[in-house]
Amino acid sequence: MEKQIEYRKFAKVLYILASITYWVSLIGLGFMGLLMIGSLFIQESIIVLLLNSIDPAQLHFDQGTFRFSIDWSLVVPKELLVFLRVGLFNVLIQMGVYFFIALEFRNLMRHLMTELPFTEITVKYLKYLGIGIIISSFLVLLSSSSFTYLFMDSETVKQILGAGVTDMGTNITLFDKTSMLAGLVVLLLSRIFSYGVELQEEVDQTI
Amino acid sequence: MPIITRLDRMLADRKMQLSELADQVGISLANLSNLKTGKVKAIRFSTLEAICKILECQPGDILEYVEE
Repeated sequence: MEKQIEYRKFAKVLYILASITYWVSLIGLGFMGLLMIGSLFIQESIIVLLLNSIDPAQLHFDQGTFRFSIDWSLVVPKELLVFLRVGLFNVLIQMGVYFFIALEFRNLMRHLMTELPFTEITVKYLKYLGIGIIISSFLVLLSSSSFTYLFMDSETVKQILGAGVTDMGTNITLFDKTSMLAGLVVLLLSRIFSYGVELQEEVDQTI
Repeated sequence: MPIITRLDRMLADRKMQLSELADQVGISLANLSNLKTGKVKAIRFSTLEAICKILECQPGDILEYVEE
């Protein structure tokens, strides 16, 4: 009985942390959604105005493996808008997946706080959590700048990047190994808990 | 299930209520009712011993094997 109280206390602490993550990711998701919708209404003329107000001398980018400077006078506003929208969409997808993971984790902890661990509901939450983590391991592909550039004309990409480009996303990672492994371990746990449900049933039906 | 219980017969012979037996054995009425209706999967020796002691019978008087 003591061990039961112990794990429930731990589940309660994790539930509080999970709730914070849940609300933060929900607010973030909502905000990104609004930005995404807003970007659909942005006209090229606004981009032109923005470009005209930028002082090119101040803009150099140092991003990961490559560093480049941009000659803004050569940038095509329409393509920059595409770049912006695709970038926002990327972030929206990623936040959606993280929100799903936070939701399932929160539901799991809430269940463990009050119920016995070896139930079908626990197995279900673990399965969804595992699938969510595996999907999140592929998000690293979306995070890559080269993914965004795939949606743009190569001439425009060259114009945006300008001179001084040393590299352009040649290291495309298909998935994050750590997250993939974590997701598979959680899926395995769901199978183990499924066996636990059988054992629990047997114990419950023993007098 | 091939193993069936004759608990109802023993209770009738001893003129005892199920609730009374549950109190004396120290298990819940729900569990004992499940045993009576054959819904349990297993019974501990300690529980079987307690039932036999109170009903003054042998395990064979309560449990019976019937081929399916």
